[in-house]
Amino acid sequence: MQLKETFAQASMTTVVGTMDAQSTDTVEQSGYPAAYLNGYDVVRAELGATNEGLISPSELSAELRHVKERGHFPVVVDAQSGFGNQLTTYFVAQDLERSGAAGVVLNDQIFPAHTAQDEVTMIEFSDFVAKLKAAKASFEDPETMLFAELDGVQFYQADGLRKRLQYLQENQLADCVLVGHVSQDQFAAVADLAHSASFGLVVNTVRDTFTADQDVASQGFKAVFYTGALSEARQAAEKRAVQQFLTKAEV
Amino acid sequence: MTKAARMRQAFKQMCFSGDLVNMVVAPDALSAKIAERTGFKAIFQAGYATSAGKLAQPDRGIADFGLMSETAREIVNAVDIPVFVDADTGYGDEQNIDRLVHVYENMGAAGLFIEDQTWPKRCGHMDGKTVISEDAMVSKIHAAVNARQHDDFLIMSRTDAYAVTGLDDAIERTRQYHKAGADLVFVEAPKTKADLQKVADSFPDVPVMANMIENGKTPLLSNEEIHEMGFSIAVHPNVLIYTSTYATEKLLKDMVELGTTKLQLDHMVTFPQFNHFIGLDDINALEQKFATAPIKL
Repeated sequence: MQLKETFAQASMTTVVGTMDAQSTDTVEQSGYPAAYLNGYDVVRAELGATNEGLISPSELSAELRHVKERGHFPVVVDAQSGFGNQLTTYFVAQDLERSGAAGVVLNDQIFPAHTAQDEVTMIEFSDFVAKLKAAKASFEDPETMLFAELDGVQFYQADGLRKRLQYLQENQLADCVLVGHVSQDQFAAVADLAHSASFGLVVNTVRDTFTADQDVASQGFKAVFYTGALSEARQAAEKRAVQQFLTKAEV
Repeated sequence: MTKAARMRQAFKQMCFSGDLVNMVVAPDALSAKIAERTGFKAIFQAGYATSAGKLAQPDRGIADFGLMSETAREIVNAVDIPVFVDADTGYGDEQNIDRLVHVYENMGAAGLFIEDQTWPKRCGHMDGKTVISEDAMVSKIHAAVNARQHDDFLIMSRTDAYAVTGLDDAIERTRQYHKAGADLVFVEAPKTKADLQKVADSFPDVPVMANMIENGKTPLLSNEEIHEMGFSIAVHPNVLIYTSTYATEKLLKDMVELGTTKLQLDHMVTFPQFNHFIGLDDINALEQKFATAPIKL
């Protein structure tokens, strides 16, 4: 089944964030419909850092090509804020699709995009729309999905989010709208909006504290993209694994 | 001493020697090797040639840090002369600059320049440029200087402000960039010889670079003229791309029309000449050096 059809048929689709071929393989074998090769997890694995904006698009697409060497499992890729303006967005989206992306996520942050909540700044909505049009125009396969990620609810509040959602959906600017960078304080308002509008949620399980006490999957979101979990888990497992080689004297 | 340390020291010595540092931009490792063999003492790796050679695209910010740094690494590894690299705008903010300085320093580059255009940037001799604020660029220079691990990894500032706010602002910006820690300075795309002279005269104690683009916005001067004006560094960024485009197109047209390369043989190196140049003899000798020897246990 094509990814677009999966999203259309399911009431809620869960996508798990990955960082490389191994973690994508884990997600595929676990039965999920797609993996999300995202900046945060890739930067943690490749650079040992936590700022997604440190990776460049050609490095990301090279990682994707490794992931896609092994099969046809759908991989959605994080194009962040397009790594520049509409022009760069066009070429980044084109390169990601040609490298095997089943879908591309574009957010409305200023370049370079950031993971930390207090480092995020937003572009004008009109510029975001222009980037979405550029990304869509670059696709060669009509089945390639475009995800529009709205990261600025802390700036434009729930009402601004609602207006943006409405505009994007009425004008069919993306196949699926996602909302990311939701703070603990704003989670209830965003979840409430999900009862009347169709959109997905992007969660960073390391950063987003609401994941500790909220059943995110049952809030009515069209999709939930979980990032951070696998890179965090890998690092924890690695720490446990290397401990066993230390002698008692070294400990 | 590591090769990287040798290259940094050699380049710094060149830049502050009083002689002109004459650099050509190499689009790839092969052209860098040719430049080295023909007598160039340092190589520049820059965006216009990399965009053209690796992507067949214009210099409009499509070549990103991943591509630029990978190309630089290939060139650094291919030659034994210093390689100075074009870090464009730093590809983001201060955190991106911190990363790229580490990457370029670790790969063995001799230094880099950072410019004050907005991203995505464009070739300095194209129209429609915009620049970030002076303060924002000073912050980027600070980030680069703070990130380097060796003082002899040279940081050059480049301003594109001439086309946006005029020569006086470009010079004033450059003063601030030098104060912020830039070891070398570069004012992009002056339009006249008088402009060039004013730039050189404004920085008598700092190595200043002149950019010689054929048919660009700046008058094309000889190295001797540039040096006499007071510049310490000359770079020729596009000549290899233009020459290879001209030669390749001419040859391929003949191949399409005539179906043979026989009439072009005088314009090529020969099979043995190229193999010798590219280092086949050295590679064969290296393989022989490590050939398996029989062992009797």
